[in-house]
Amino acid sequence: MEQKRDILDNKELRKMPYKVPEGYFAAKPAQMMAAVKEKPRQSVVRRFVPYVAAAASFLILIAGGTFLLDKHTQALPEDNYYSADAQLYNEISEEDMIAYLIYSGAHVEEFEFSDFFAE
Amino acid sequence: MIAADGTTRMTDKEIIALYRSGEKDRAFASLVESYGERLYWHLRRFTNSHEDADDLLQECFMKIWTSLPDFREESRLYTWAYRIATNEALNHLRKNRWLAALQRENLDAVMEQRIDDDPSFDGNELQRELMKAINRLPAKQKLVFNLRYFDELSYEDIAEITGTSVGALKASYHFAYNKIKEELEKKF
Repeated sequence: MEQKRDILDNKELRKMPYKVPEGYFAAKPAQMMAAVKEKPRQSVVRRFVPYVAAAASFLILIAGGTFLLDKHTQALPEDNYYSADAQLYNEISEEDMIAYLIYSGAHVEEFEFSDFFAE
Repeated sequence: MIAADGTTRMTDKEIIALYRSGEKDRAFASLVESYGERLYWHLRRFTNSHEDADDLLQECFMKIWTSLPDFREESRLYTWAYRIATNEALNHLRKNRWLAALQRENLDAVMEQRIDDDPSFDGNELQRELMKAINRLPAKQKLVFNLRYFDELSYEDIAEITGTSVGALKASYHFAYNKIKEELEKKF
């Protein structure tokens, strides 16, 4: 019995079926060189600035959060904690949640979109 | 090193030696010459768009240029370049998935439409359907399938690029290959 040929076992299929503009690849080395020269390389100190800024923001946030938490937990009677949380939660819109998730760099795979976009 | 088009290209070692000797511009230009085309097609298969692949390619070489001084030769230059391109491609996909979700669009459908509408498509229907079938794969299977099927990289090289074990890669490729084969055999 003749065996059916594997459809993917085909050299032609392994070639990319797209055209690129004439001379596209030949021009790349000069183009890329011009691009990297245009955007000057960052010094070591400048490269660390964003990390230092992020760490400083994080520390300020933690310090501020701890301060506020201390202040509020002292002021609120114990049985008001949950009702205050529930009220706050109701005030956060779905758009705010999505904006926060994008801002925090959360990966799309981690969330069920149906929860956000349910009609 | 003789390239597929018959031109002579520098090996990774020669490029690194040139870079270390202070001829940084020449080394970088040789690197673009050696890997520009392969990285472009790698990115193009993820984006289904010449413009997006072109932008990402520039981003990749920017990153390669800024990271070259820190390149420690623990990995090979070409697997390192592929890793940078792969990260760019996956981040681009992730970003687009978010944007599509916010606009209540299905990114997979958008990407498939790009294949249908691409004016630079120059193949036959089997090739078009192959591109669509690849597009429907989960990102990781798509990555492994593309690197193995089109770029003909060894599992060891793919493992170096993706940081995954050879066993897991073989399983991923096997699943992807059979899924695509089944889809195509239903149509042709």
